[in-house]
Amino acid sequence: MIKLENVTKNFDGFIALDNVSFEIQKGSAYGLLGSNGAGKSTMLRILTGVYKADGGTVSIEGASIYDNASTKQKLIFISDETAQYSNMTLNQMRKFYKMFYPNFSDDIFSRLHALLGLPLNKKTSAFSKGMKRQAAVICAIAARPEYLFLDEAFDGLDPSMRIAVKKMMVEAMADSEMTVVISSHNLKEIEEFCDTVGMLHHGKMIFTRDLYELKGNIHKIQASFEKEPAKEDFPELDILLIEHNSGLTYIIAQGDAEKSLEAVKAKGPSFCDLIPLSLEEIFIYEMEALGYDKNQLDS
Amino acid sequence: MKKSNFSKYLLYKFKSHIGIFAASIVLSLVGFALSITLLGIYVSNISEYYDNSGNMLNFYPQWLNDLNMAIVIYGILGLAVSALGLLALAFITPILSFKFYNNRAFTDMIGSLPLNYTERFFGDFLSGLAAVCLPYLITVPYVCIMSGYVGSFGIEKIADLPANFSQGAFELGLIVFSTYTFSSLMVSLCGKISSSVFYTLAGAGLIPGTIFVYTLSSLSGLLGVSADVMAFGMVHWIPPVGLIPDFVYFWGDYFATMFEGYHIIEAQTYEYVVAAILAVAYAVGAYFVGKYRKTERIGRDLVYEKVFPVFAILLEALAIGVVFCVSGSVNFITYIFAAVLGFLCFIIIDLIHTKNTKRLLKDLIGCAAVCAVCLVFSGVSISTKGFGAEDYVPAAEDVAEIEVWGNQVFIAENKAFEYVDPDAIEGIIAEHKELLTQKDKLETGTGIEIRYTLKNGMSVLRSYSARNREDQWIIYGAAGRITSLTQKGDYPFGVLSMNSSEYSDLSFAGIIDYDEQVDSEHSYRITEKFMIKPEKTEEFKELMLNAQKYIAADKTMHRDIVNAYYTKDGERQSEMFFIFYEYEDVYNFIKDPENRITINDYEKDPMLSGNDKVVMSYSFSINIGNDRNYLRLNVTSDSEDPDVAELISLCSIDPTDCTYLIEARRTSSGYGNVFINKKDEARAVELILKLLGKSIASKE
Repeated sequence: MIKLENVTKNFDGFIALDNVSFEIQKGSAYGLLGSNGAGKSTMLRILTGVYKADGGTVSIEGASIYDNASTKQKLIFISDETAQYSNMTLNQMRKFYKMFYPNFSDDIFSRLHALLGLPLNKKTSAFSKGMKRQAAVICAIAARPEYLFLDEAFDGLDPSMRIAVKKMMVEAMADSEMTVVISSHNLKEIEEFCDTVGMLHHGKMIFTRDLYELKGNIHKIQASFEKEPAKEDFPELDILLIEHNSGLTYIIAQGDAEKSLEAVKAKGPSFCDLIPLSLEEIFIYEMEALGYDKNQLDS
Repeated sequence: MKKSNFSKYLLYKFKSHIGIFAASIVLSLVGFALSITLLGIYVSNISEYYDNSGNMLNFYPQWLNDLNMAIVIYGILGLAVSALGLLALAFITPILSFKFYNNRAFTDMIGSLPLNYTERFFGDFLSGLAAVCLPYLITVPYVCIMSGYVGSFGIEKIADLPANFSQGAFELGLIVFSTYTFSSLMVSLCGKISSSVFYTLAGAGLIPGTIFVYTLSSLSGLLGVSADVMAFGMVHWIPPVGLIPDFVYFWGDYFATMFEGYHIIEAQTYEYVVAAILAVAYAVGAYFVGKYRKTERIGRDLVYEKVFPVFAILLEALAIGVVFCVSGSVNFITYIFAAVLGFLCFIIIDLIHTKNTKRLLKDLIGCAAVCAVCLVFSGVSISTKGFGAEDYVPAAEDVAEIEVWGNQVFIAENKAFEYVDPDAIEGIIAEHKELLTQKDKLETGTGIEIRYTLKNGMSVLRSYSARNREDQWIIYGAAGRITSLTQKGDYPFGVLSMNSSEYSDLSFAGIIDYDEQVDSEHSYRITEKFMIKPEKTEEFKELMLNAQKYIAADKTMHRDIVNAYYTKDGERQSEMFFIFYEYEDVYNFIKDPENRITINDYEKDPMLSGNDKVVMSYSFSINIGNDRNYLRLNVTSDSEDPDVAELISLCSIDPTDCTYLIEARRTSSGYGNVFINKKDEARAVELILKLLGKSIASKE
């Protein structure tokens, strides 16, 4: 388990992480969400021992990470940069990771390499950014770490490669109970892969929650009333937002979906239906409910 | 055995430096060692290029046509290129090895590896150090063996290299090592490659540069003080830059006659020790700076912001010091110009660094304070003549050792005399003070050099020459008294027989008048035993003793009194010294036939086995040429060539009415001059030309 307690990081007056606390269960796929500058990369660098936290504690299985070789032996960090591999071939990258990670599996590497079809003995400087990321990911997966940290994991990958990389990671997680922590500003990617998500905004962890629970807890009801109802007309519902558009009323509410639907139907709409929400919408509504302005979150 | 992550990382990093390692091998072994070898093998051959006064001729491009000289020149160039190349490698490698500090991608990759800081630091540091220095470590013992430095261990010299080549090789090693550690330190302070380059260069030069210019400006023009030597001496211990002038001058010294250089400085052993300690301290500094640096500050010029003012202040101080150094005086214009230049330098570097004019206004307060301190210091130090350095003579109780040397004093020995005896030290200090009472007759020069090594490890060097020739006696008087203070060294009589030995020790002297060249050179043998009439010996003795006031340094302006023989431990010794033309008494005395006995009257010199015929000579060097160059023909007396036998029969050791001087060299010891009398001149010339023709024909 990864545990952070009151972690702060200050970049010469700029607070990158502000008293952040959360836990990541072993074997889970954790999605770290946030807009640019939210603190995701800083968080990952602290989690992987690249940066030292200014305050608070960070631990993996109870052991500190920073300057602790034995803890870091359990993890691999693939950052959003790829320049470090430029002077290496994929084969050299394989040797590099194999050198430091004794669990490295040549079989897994060969299988993944065959799947992606990357040149083995060509300098990665000749690779596209997506190819470099693929190369880094297959090395990381083949190294079979207990904890894999990926910064903007799917950045630069085309749709087919995204699917392939996700599949690789899912298989690796199934095989070895690997914990994966992915940062992204792309909610769709996280929705498809992660089981737990955390939202960082301006250095603060807004929430961290199980994705299925989150999805099941918030819903959107579309209805048509003769007279547009107000929020106060549904005191039994935990309404996050009520909107009217082209004669239709949209209610975003938390709680049990069926009960909410029944409560709306009880008000006698001419039409009423439950509409599925995308994760992006859930986040927007959830954070608006927490007092964050939607427009502010985009910045 | 399972390898630790550290050893894996070290190996991985070393492999990444394989190009540097290859370059270092080429520079150290193919470059440095080969150049040394070439020089060692061929350097003795350049003696062919002496003129007939024994001076090395100037460099001539046509020498490149000569294989030996070409190899020597290429050897020197190879040495220079190798040294510069190794320096460049030592400078660049830490920037590459500590990529972690200036490349965010590497920070993420290397920083998350299963290594702790210490393992990572030593992996980066040692891999680069090994790549740069390992090949050179092989070179140093090689040079030591070549130069016979380890001869005491039973290893014989392989080539004709001076033993102090080993010192040069060691010095370069120290420079390369300290450059590497210093660069490592500066890279640890910086967050970008460009700033690493800038601050390493600036950091290396600023501190020794500032000390140098302030010392130079304070001491320039002071009597007895070699300001440049002192200024270089002040930075000897600051590696790597402080060692470089010494290294350059070291090689310059060896090839001095070729390039007309001179060895003005020489680092002391303790200075090497201090420099080595500092070099290691840089490495230790790099470790701790890296340990506490904030990784996230990568991309900044300096990750430790508080270091910047040190650079800005030093740059400003250096700029102000340079103005005073160039000006050499304190006046209103110098003050203004120095202040303006200092401010400009500060403002420019501050703006480049902070990119913030508001911050600049705040920083200008500090700038003004530094400027004021530098101006006051320069003004006071120059006005007070280096805080009284001109008249400073160390107190006897503070002095551990004194070395005395001078090119007009210790000609015969060509090395410094060392004094550690308290009485001798007091005597030398008294002589030094006495010299200072006659400051108006002296100037800074190398007539006599007194180097005090103080008990606190500091060194004080003063050098004096007489301003005019007639005042040479001031220097020689002091030198004579100083050398009589102790009988240390290989030469028990101190400076010259003329100065400090008994006249009766002299058994032989000759004079060569350099007014005229080889073809008309006059030489006179002067000994009380077989040339000077017995009743004239006292008069001659007075003349010789008086001659010590007129001994010259400049060989082009003198007559040689050569081969002044004396006896030491039953062995015949000789020395050479020179007398100014102005002093003609000895010369005229010898030329007067009234003072000399005739050839038939003189005693046999035990060194010579014959009288008027040169049966004692076993080989000749016959020199024919002009004032620039000459041919040397070697003939031996045991030659079966009848022309040689006839030429030898014409030679005489009687210089009376002679025309040609032939240097007759004995195979085992000593040499003398023989002559050809005018009556035999035509035949002798004919024979010499004939022998030369044969020699040339045989070579063809």
